[in-house]
Amino acid sequence: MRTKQVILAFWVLLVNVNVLFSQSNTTDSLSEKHTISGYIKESGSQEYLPMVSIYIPTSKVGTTTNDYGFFSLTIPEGTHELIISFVGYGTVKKTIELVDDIKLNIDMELSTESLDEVIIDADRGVNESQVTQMSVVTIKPSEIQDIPAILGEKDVIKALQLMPGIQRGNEGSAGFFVRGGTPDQNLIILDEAPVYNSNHLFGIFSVFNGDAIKSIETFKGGFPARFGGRLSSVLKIDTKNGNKERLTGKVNVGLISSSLLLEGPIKKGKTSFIFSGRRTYADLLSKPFQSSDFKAGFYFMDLNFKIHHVFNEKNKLYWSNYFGQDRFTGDEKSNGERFKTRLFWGNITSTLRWNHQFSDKFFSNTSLIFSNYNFGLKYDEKLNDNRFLFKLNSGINDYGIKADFDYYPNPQHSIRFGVASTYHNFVPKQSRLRATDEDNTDVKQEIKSIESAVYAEDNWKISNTLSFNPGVRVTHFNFKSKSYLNFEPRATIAWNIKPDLALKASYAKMNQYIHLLSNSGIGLPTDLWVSSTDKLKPQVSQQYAIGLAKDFFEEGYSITLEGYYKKMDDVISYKEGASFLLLEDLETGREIDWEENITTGEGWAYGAELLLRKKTGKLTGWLGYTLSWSERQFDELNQGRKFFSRYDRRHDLSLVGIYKPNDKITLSGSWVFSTGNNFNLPDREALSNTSNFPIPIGLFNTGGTTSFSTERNNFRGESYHRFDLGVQFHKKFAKNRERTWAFSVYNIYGRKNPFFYYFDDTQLKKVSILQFIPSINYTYKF
Amino acid sequence: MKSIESNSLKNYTKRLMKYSQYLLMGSLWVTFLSCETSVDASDLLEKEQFVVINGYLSPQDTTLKVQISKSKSRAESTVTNNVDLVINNATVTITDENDNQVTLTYSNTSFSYEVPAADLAILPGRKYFLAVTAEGKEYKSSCVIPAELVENIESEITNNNDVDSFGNKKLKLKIDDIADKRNFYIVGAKVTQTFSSGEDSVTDVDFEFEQFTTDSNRENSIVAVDGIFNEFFDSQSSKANVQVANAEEILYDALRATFLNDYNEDDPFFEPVIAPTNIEGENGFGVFAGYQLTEQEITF
Repeated sequence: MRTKQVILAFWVLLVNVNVLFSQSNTTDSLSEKHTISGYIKESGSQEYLPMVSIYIPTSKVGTTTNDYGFFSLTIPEGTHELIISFVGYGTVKKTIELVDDIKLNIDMELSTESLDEVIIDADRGVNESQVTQMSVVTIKPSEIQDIPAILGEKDVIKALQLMPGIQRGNEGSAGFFVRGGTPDQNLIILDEAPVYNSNHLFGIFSVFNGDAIKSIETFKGGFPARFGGRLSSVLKIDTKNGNKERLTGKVNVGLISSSLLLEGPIKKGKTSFIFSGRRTYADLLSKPFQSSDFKAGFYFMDLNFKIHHVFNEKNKLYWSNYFGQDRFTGDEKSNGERFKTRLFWGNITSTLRWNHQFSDKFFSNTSLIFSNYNFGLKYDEKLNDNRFLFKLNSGINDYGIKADFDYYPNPQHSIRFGVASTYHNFVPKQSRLRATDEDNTDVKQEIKSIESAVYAEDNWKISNTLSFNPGVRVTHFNFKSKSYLNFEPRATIAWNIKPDLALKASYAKMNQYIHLLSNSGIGLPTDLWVSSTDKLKPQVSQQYAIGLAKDFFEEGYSITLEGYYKKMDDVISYKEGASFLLLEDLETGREIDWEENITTGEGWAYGAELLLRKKTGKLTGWLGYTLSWSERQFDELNQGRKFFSRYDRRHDLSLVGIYKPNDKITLSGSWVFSTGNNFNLPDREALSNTSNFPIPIGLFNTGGTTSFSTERNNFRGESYHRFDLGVQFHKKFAKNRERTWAFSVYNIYGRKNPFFYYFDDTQLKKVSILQFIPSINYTYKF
Repeated sequence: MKSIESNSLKNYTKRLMKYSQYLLMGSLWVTFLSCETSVDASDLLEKEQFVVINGYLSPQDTTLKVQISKSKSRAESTVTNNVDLVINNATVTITDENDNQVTLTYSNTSFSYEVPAADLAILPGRKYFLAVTAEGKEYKSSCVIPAELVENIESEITNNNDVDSFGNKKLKLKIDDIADKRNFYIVGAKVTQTFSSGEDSVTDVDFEFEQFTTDSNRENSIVAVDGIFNEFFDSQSSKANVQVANAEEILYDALRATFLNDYNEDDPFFEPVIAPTNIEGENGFGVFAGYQLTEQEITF
């Protein structure tokens, strides 16, 4: 099997390189060619713009800017008209006389979508039917600001959950499930750094506060070779670089949190910074009302800080930092006793990136990456002269280096290749115990591993109607003396049946070397990240997808229809009854092997997704529908029988509309409907199995009856639906100042969606949360 | 390493872990006005009925017992008496490898099918076959009695200083692991305290999760477990009957499933454990398995 993959991968590369050079030689001989290269920036802020289309209608060739706003287009000499376009920005038309290689930096003006008629350009080159890539969802930060959100907390992941193929977990949860995968199978990268826990407050909010975000891309399949390490999705979030011209900012005051964004030049045109912070304040507000004997509080916060420096046109530096934390505090005092409890968890990421442009066709980015996730608890008890202090931590530290190269030899090929290596240091458990008259006890478990990869991919425009994106990623993982080497071939092909209609197909193989142990199903911070080891193999997936993409240029609509089949191997799960609590023998500090508590199996996910989207005009939005199945099979679970995964949902529908009749008002609404979740519900009762055993089982088992179920996820909950509505009133002042009042209601018709079920005597009870949650927000931009 | 106050530590850890759940529930309840409604479960729940058969054999048995009952939906309120769940007209036979067969008869006192152990020798390492006809259907299963039993148990009783746990005494057991095999132990102890009035009080020692223990990672070494009980200040004499069963894995898993499901009954985020079954036949469920029991009495 592996030999076949290697042969396939090399064949793809060989054919690709061969064709590349033969083609460039042939065309080179026909006419002199020159390269137009440069950067596209936003006028005013000087923010680099990714995914901007640069297109020459007469010769029907074009390219798009990379993540850092760079483009390169090599075309025959002569007079050319360039059309530079990007949704939300005024299209720029430029005629150039090409007699030599030229540099072309262009500033694009932000257009007010609601008022200005956006030019619908069929040749734009970035429409759904015109890109090779499939199974990708892009969402603009401005759309996230417009979509109604729970308690007014604008949330990237909540917005993405409204897209087909990306499902929410339980009610209110910011965890997401892509094409039948699990949340740990999503690679979330913030400015190149992986983010391990994307949740605040047990998943009710995500850690991504939209203010500092520049672009959001989510890949559900057809993964480009530059991404790897997770089975199910890649969510790539890039933050803004900061305004290089003037100091600007935004203050937002909401019901549960407030945030501040500040950006501006440190040295005009050269160095900029951006800072954004958000903090909840329920703990501060409730403090005066709490008794002096017992004080409890909870808050979460996010801080983003980034500095961008332009040394010169060819060398740029980016230093991005994120710090986020949830913290629970509890303090009790009574009669000489004092108890202090702390629970905290959070991420820290830091990335230092250096852009270097070797030539007008060759661009590179080198990143040094640090990512940390830590969960901790602390219990401190003082009773007279006795002290008891217990600290428990688990977490992960990643130190990575990555170099990515973009090479644009001619308009037919955009080649990317690179190398990456990450040192993972997992700490499944670190505990510290100090007690009066007892020996100190310190326990630390560590797992150290190195994950590396090399990749190459080419976006190859074979003809005006056919494009092909082959790629290969070779990954290596090392744990102690055990090494895994895997080849991951990737390929996407797109055939334009008509200029606005494309048929696409893709294949991607992925390996995942790190795993999340979780049995809560709700993303508790106690979920534990662990590494592949000599006993625990990496998870593997192979995904096949086929789809149609159609654009209606005149009307501004696009429609995509995709079918996928994903097979997953060596996926992990806790064994029956295992949990974080049972992973350790606390008395002796001896490690009970966590590998003993998990089991591996197979997974199947398949389905179809439809997305009808309108990106321009006064009314924008989308209709998304997913029909899907997600199954698992583990030899040691459910008697070895296949079962539906918890969030296996047959139907999932979302309808999102944003209406901007003028620049003073934004109306938005979203309606979602989905099949209910699966629950493990012991729904039967029989005489207890403990009654004839000579040893009494538990203290509370009376030996009467035992409730049980015979199938995992045996109970399908009621279907889920809700309607959210939002309205924003904007008022503009001089000097680009603007204030916005935003009102929204989550679940406006108060649908009692199931959060969980339980039996109370002979009655099945449903607990519902989040019904009719109104909110108000005030935002001031300056 | 000196043993630390393990039970207090466990309690603190659990307390802290629970905090996260309370915090979650609290935030949801307070902030988002949760509500609870009764659901008409008749359409949502499966309706099929299971024949539940549980029988455990051991060479130390004096009576061989098999219990047969039918399941009911938990949303069903018509069957209120547990006895109504018992199937008392089944035919039950156990056969050994040499085709020696006994038929078990129904007992109104134990609600089980019984036969004196003397009628069929239950021998270590041997296989036994169960055949049941109940509700017009046939069910069968088989088990193998573990070849060995725990030979040596060391007991120690100490004071329990953890004020948060329910008990002032701690019973520490050190069990010599049965060598070179993967073993599944179920532990229990009964403490009998006699008062000056001559009355006895019998309580079970609470081993919590440690009631179920394996030799995972400690093959051929000592398996240590701790339990808590309360010694009354006015008891005149006390003795404890310590029991350690070396069980077949399926029996261990089935009883542990019951324990964990009961223990976590009030935790809505606990994933219920699905108990295993080795009963073959239409809608059959339960466990027929073997174990070996070691008992030891200590006085203190």
